[in-house]
Amino acid sequence: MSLVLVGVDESGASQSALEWALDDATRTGASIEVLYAWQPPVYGGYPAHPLAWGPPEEALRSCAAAVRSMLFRAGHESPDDAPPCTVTIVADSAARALERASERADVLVVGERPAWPMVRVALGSVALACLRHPHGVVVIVPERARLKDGAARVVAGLDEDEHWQHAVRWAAQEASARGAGLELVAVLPAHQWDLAGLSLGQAASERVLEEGVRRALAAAPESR
Amino acid sequence: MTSTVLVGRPGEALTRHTEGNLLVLGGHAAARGHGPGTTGRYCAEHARGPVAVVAGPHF
Repeated sequence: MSLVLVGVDESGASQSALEWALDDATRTGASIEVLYAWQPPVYGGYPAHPLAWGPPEEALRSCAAAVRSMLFRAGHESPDDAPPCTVTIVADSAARALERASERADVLVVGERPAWPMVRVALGSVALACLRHPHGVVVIVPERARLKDGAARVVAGLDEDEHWQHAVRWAAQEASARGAGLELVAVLPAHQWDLAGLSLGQAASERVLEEGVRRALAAAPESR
Repeated sequence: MTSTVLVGRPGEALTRHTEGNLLVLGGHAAARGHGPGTTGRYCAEHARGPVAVVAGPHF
């Protein structure tokens, strides 16, 4: 069984991430691990010993309540019909704890809380750290993301690098699990807007897309 | 299954086209330890829906 790891804190962004992770684990038959990282207070430049402080009780209660409430909202009225779920508490920085824990996970999900909330132009530090040291699939969920229903699309962006092939396989499997349509998209960069570059680039993009369709069908024959 | 060719800046074009649906990208820059590439970072910052970066054949 694959594992979806989701990092949570008290933010709205992490609530969105947890909601997405629960939905994804339910659809794909994965188990889910909810990771809450906390750090003891620092006095005079020295952190207090974690055993002397323990994790913040209020935060733990809200974390457990959020998991229960989202399971209920997702239609899981009892733990028996919900995906297997564990909650892990780690005394470490969120970025480091998630990076380490993601080594055992197939998918890491984090909420995206912008560093500058007034102007949404910079990723939060934890999301950025997770993207810097990925071990598999990293999903960034914006704070105000709304879950699409089963008829939504999954869009895979393709380029000429070898890693798009992994992206297409995963996207095809996700689309299949969600009963969603799969759309493969290649983008001709703006600098190829002159006529000669455009026709050459378009031919290359179409080749990549053809290969993408072939690989998507190989990964999930029922893709639509 | 559909396939589409867009023209423009990749991050902007993909973000606009995806319209809040799940967007999946290859994480080649991230997989090489360079952090998210320009497109991945732009999409993660501006997309209205979830953005998945697939860095390798781990799954």
